[in-house]
Amino acid sequence: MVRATVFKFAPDVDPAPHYETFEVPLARGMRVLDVLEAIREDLGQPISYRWLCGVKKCGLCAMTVNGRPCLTCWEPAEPDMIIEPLAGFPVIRDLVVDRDAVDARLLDVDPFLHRPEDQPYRGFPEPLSGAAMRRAGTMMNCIECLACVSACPVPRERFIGPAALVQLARWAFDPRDGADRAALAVAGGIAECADCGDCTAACPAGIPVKEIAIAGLRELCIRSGYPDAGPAPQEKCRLVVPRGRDR
Amino acid sequence: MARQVDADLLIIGGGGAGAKAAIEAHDLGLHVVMLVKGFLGRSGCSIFAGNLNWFGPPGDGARPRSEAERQKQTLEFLAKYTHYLGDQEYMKNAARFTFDHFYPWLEERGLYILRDDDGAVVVDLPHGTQAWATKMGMSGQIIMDMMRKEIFRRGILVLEETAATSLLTAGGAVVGAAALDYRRGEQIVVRAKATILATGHSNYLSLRSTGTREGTAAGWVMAFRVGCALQNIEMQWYHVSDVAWPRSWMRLHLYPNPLPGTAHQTRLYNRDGELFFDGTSVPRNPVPYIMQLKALVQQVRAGKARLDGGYYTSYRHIEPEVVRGHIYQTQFVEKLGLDPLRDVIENGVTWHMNVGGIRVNGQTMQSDVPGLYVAGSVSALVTGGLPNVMYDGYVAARHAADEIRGRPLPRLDQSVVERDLARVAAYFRTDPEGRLLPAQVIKRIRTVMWEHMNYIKSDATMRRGLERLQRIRQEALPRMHVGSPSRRFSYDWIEAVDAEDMLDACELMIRFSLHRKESRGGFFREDYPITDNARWLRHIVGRLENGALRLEELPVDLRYAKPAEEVADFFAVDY
Repeated sequence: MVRATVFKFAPDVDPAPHYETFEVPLARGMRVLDVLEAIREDLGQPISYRWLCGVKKCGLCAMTVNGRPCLTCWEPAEPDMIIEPLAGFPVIRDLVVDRDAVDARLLDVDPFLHRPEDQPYRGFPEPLSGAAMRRAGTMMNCIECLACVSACPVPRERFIGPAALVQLARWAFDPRDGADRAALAVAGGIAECADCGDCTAACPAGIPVKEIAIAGLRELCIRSGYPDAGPAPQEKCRLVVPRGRDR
Repeated sequence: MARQVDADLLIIGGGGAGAKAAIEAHDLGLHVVMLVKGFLGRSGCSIFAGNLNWFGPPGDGARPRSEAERQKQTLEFLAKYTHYLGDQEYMKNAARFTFDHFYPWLEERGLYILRDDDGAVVVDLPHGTQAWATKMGMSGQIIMDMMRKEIFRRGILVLEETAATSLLTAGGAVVGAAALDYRRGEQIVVRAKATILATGHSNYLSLRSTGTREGTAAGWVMAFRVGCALQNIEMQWYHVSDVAWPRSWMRLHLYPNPLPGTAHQTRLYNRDGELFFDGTSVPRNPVPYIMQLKALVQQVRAGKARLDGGYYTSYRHIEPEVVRGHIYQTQFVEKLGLDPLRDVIENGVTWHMNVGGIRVNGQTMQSDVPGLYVAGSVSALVTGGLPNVMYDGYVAARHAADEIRGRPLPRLDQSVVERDLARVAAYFRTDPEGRLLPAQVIKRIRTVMWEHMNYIKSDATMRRGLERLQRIRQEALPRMHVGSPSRRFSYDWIEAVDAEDMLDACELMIRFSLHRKESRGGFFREDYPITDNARWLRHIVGRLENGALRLEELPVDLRYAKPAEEVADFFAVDY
């Protein structure tokens, strides 16, 4: 059996959040999402949660499971789980969070290809090699599930966050792009990144967020004349983490 | 009281067809409003598009093809894919659009079609039928993320987590739609000069389906209720090689046919470890999905596989760099602790695409009802495909723009509006006798369809299915309740509406199926195991007349490709 303790809160009718515990039979290969589905469909117990694909494409079923951000269609069910909404986001109801503010920041990085004026598009298929696109291709694995944003300890006021930086890196690493991506990285507060690597650990798509996305953007910033974007000193890591949002 | 929103053009659906229509219409100067049941570009079937039709562009140095040759290949492929029931003139135009517009429009905006290190587009060998955005299995997700951002960039009004509940008519024309914003718990009325219905495939009707909980056939049912004809909706299209478990991964497709950069295809083994299917052994058919299905049926009948498991996909004979480098699915196999180069993966059948849908004019995307256009896989033109559905959206938007330019907003018929709002509001009830969550009722419906309307069926199983659906309608629907008095994110509420739509859709599907007395491609009847082109290469078309379904048969467009056989053993033909 799987024992799941689930966060429940409907702000318009409940005086306070509470938890309910359910037990469902453990099925072969069962994912966390499967447990939630079984609670509704087989036990007839209402819980609100989002999912739209079940196979790591929509990026909308991220929640906090046993204290860690995870994509619930991806991670296996554990015998005893506490399932809570994705930490650091306002709760709409139960396990459904309001992503709007963070989703909007994903658009702040100008996530569109800007070809240099002297290199216009000349028709399909354009000359482009797989090797030149490899780093950008790794960034394209991002499904914007925001698990990394939930894991990130840096306050959001001055830092655009790891998911937006991955999106920025996706274009910065594309050899066809001519926009000033370094300026956007600096404006997004890349210097605030504490280099803790919690984003990489949380990423269900296996993207080396710290090691390739953020490090690559930093290199670009330095090359482009923004020395302050360089790697954070170790002590910064120690200072920022304890002051971060309540996780 | 419902909030009212006005638009030049209302688009219902946030997949490839709806998104392309929205961009096109906006760029033509129309005020567009989108209703999206899930999230724009993140829900529905378009994100599942793993392959992109290729067939080599005209100047591709690696595999030069003339325009005529490419068109012929595409048509033969799509004709077989639709069991010769697709609209061939439409397919010809959509194939041209694929190379003239789809690929260049997206690539200019940054789409990356997988290349090798020398810059050649990676395709399947030797036919060159498919290409991929970054990896096999990821194309749709990558493209739809681009479409989502292109739409937000334009400031188009997108109402997400808002499901259309009915099309609104006045004076015999569609003048907008009623909707439920389940996130805020608010009913909405959208008034529009024209409406494009683009709600995608309807395969969440059976227990195992690639689609997810949005794909409940609401599009078919809404259109049918206002007088549109449905066509060939008995023609369900299945996937054989989706994973058997875990449950939420049932829509993970272990692509059996063209694989990137290799001439190999996956192999299927039965319960006893006997090889029973390898696509490369099917001559003259580069994408033999249907043959895979027929081969499985024979294994099931021999007791050597089940539709929900007991047979296996193997990648063991395929180059490691292809398996590890080019296929999205590999990581899932590894996550289960299996080695994709050594272990086999258990499979089950899923309901995947619909061949049929709403009958439309393939040149304009107009339905039978004024004011309503239909785009994408909710229509009956072809069996999906991202380039095809974007063609639909493009055409529908352009024709709608021409039709409505300079026209005033229509008047709503308040009695129609009030009736639908009241119907939906009545589903928000918390305490009926013997309470059932709508999710439980939906599971019962899907179970009936799996057990009685699955790939292997007959007159007797289908009639039993109808009886059980009628019992659910009488006994379970009145017991549905929403699990909480909170109207915030009440997915129970929209599922209650869905349950009624699904019952209507499933009953219609069975009635169409009982009418077709043959077997064809994705449609197999044990009591009629022949493909009868002489008698049944016909569209089955049904519409609502005086409150009842009226079925008729209409001719099929065979101008470019037709089957050689008049009547054939179902298992002997490759379509």
